[in-house]
Amino acid sequence: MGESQPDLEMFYQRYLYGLLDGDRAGCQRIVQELLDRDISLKDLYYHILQRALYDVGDLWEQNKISVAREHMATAMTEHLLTMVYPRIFSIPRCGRRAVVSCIANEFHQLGAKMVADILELHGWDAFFLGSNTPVSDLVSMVREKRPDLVCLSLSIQFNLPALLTTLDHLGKAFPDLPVIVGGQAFRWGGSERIADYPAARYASSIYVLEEMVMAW
Amino acid sequence: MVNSQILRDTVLAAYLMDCSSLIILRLDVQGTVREASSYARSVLGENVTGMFFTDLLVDFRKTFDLAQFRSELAPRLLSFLTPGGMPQTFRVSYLPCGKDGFMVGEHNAEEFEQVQSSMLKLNQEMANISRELQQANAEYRRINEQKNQFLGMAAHDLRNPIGSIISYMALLLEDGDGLSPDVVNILKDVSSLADFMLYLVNSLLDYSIIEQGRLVIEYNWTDFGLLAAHTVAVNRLMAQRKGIRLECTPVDVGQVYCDIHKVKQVINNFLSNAIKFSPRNSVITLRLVYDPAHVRLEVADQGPGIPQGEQERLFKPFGRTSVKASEGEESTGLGLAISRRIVESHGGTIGVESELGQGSLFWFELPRRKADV
Repeated sequence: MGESQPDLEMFYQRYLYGLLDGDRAGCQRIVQELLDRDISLKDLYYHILQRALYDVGDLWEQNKISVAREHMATAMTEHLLTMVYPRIFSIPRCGRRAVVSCIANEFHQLGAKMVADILELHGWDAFFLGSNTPVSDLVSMVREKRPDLVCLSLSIQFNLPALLTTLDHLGKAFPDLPVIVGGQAFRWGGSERIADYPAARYASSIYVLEEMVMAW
Repeated sequence: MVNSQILRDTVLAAYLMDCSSLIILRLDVQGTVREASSYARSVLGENVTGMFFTDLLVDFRKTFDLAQFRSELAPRLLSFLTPGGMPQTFRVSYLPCGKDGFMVGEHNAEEFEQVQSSMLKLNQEMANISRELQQANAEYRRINEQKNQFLGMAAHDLRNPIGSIISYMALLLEDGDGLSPDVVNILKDVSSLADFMLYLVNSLLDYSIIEQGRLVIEYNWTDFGLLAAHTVAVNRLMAQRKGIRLECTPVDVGQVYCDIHKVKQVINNFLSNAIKFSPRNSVITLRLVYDPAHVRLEVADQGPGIPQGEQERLFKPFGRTSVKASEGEESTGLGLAISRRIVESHGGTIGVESELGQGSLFWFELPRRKADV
């Protein structure tokens, strides 16, 4: 899109206010307008959708908005993502597959879903398993889909032991299968534990993940 | 000590009445609301004071007994009418206070949380299903494109060998002196089958081109009446073989801006279908209707007609019906689907009117000038 940054900033501010107001139709109009202007999907994801969610999360952490409002913003974003899918899924395939999932007891799925979409943007077939996926389900899905990569998302830090257990299971069942882990939980540390798992790597941000994917 | 207790109660009461998220209603002995908290007024309406408490409730079965509720003093779930029309449920307790008493309603926070988390879970599941659906749709689109490409390649590669077979057959039949009549008949059958194969392959090629979005319309000003008459003449021989009379009254409908070859293909398709499905010695009529902006071509036959429920299928690829050709003639099931795409690409419309036992009338209508498609 030939959109200059100030224009994008203006769209972003309107979008954020709409999200905080629960104005789903308004946000939908903004996303549609951006799509009509042929915004690059990466710009839409990084500079509008993801940025807004981070800002909403910060506002909640500062007690400026309620958790209900934060949930509403997340739910609205989930809905708005569906507007982008026809474009994402029509990108030519590169023949690589990934399974993307949240681990058991992780109920925040949006970050993982965005990871799946970023992979799709690069032509991967990304199978998204959703929130709260038991290890056994994850392992059987990997067995079925035979992916080139597994991506795991962790948003709550006290679920770190569960993530490590999951990595243990995956490592035993598929020793050579690369795994990328990431998520908001690592803001408070813990990424060094991933080094204990030879096939696993930590992606500190969606940009890093994208670099890893592009270098594949 | 007493003063400080009164002060404390006053401060607390003022907070509860003005700032809390509680429905607080002071009722007199008759059950009339005499005072309402700020939150009660925002939920139940500003004019709640003066109303009977029971009139504020959603009570479908008229089972609520105010006197009994006041005497039992046990909390109970009650649904209130709201000005917005959406009832709201509160856990209500009665607190007697002299002659009057207070109704205190509070939200069930635990239930609220449960409902909220269920809604979020449902939303997540719905969004995930939507994602899977769109992913599957994209996959089907890709597979369909591959299928069309394959179809196009296969049809294209088959065309040349079939063309050679047809040429060799023609040579054999031309120079076939000394061949027995049985062999000549077999060669004629093979030749006719090869003709049909070529027709089938060409249809598949047309269809795959259309499906891949590669249909190109080459517009030219065309004498439409002449085009129709010429196409009728080409089909007359085939009709005569079944003793069918092809009627076409020459009409000067003037010039139409269209792709002459593709429109001819549509008229050909209408006529050859009519011949296939008409009984011997019947009549097929081609008629042209026009106005300054449009031209309409109709082909009416005296065939068996098409059942109402099957007519929609006709214009879809391979959309065969239960109606059989009168002498077992073959068809690809693609002709009308191709015709529909050609007509629609011109900004026109296509259709059929038919009744069982009453024959069929196939028609298409084109704008005289190029339409925005």
